Amino acid sequence: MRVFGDEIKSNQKLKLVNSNYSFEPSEMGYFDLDFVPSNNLKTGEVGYIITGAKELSQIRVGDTLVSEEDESPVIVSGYKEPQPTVFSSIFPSDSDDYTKLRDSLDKYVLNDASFYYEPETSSAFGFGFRCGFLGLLHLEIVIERLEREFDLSLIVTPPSVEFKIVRNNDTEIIIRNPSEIEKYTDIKHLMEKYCEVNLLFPKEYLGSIMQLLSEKRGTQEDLNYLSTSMVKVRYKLPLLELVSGFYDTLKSISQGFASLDYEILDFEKGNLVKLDILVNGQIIDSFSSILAKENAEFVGRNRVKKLSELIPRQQFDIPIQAAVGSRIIARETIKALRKDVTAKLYGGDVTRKRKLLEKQKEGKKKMRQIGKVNVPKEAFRDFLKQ
Amino acid sequence: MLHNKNLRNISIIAHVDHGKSTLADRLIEMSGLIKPGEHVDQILDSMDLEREKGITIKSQPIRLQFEDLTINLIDTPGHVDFSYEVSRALIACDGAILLVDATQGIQAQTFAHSYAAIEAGLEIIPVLNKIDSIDADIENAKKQIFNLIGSKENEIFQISAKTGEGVEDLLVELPHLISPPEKKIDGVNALIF
Repeated sequence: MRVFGDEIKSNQKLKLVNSNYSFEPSEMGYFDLDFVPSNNLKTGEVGYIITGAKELSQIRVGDTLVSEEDESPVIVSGYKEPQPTVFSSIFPSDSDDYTKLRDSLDKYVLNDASFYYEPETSSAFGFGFRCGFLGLLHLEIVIERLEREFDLSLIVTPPSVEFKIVRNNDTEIIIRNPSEIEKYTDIKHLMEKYCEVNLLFPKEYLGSIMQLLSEKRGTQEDLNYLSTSMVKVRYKLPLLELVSGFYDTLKSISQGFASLDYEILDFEKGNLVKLDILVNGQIIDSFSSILAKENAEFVGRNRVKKLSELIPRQQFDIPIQAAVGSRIIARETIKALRKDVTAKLYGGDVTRKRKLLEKQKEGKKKMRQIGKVNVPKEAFRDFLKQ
Repeated sequence: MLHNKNLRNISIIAHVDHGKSTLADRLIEMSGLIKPGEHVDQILDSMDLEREKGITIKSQPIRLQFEDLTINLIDTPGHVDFSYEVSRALIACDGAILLVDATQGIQAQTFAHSYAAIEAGLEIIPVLNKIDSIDADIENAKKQIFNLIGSKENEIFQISAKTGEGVEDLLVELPHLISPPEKKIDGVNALIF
């Protein structure tokens, strides 16, 4: 904390304005390499205070500390609250580890207040959590810390962002998970978050970077030369595009020379669709995503192709499809395993061969009607990894 | 006994990998808190992951004593994901050291953070880092700093946080360039950051 007013003494009764939590400090002091207790903190000092509060919610970063009897406290102007921008679902690799994951998250959030999570269920992975992160690096760090400090093995879905549903009666709902869309049937349109990106890079890369930005649905707002060699551009870009591989592509086309800064803007109406992946006619909920209509077909084709390579062949044909609403936009079929039923034939009329094949076809058809596809979890996990 | 006029609250801001934590290490060494060579790099980064990746995730304050001068130094993260940590640190400070890598010049977070510092009403000290590197383009970087915050050539410090070159000069000038914290509000009042 930083002292803006009079000296604070350790035997003084104090109060936090927002949470209205009163306490007598159990210890206060300065930061050395360690905590160094002191019996006062003078005006202008930076130090720490230990309150003995039991609930984390009683102490919020950005709160103002005043004397307990202060009735009209002056609030020191705060700063921007950390807002989660990137959302991803995490599941334990072994579903028995669910409680362990939950306990770990409960513990983890104590020293990273910017992290957000809520329970989620998926047909492919079972119980897990939908989590919010400050950005892609934060996501990576949180996952790594969870895996390391809590000895967990996790499945992480590709990052996405928040969307807003505008319903026919003009009420708005913010969703953090694409599957939530299903709950609403009267959707007028979808809105997505935008961000303002500032990019700095040597002028040689101007052409390829501008091309990338327009591919990612960006609109140019500003361009100027900082010196004869450096260019700074400002673009408005859908946040969704920023979190789906933009940074990596930027770094690779600029050979690492481009640097990026962004600020989150508000929601805007977007031409968005929900892309579902179906295996044997069943929607796999964790793979559903919301994306720009113009990208749906390309992404759909890619995902279907990838998934078809990962799911093992079964006794009957399995269609893997990508759908927008009820329209199928891509399909791959995993061919059935077949026994060579004609092996025992040694000749004779062709009808004998045909009969055996017809019989096999019948059997496969019947199996398909009643059969369930058992897709191993590993296939899904490998799919997400790519 | 601490006197306010001998107190300075300073944070270090810069783009990713421009040497914030390394400069913090040098300043800590100079205060005598730790002897050179007797510690790991990135003293203030207490998480394993921070050290491993060579990045700072959490803003970390430390109080340094230089004879009768006390400096509360706050090291900040450079990555854009953690810019709210920077805004936290800036509120607690009266001045900021704006570090620019002489080999790379101004980068996107240099912009973002220096605007944030100006908005917070902080005094900014421009410092060029990594001047010992063979790739350093000092003139160009200086020009860029001038365009950014209008600092004149001779107001820009040149240091190498790695070797410690120039850090001493910076430290001597610091208390003259940044004003001591003022009492802004009557009565007991403090901000949790």
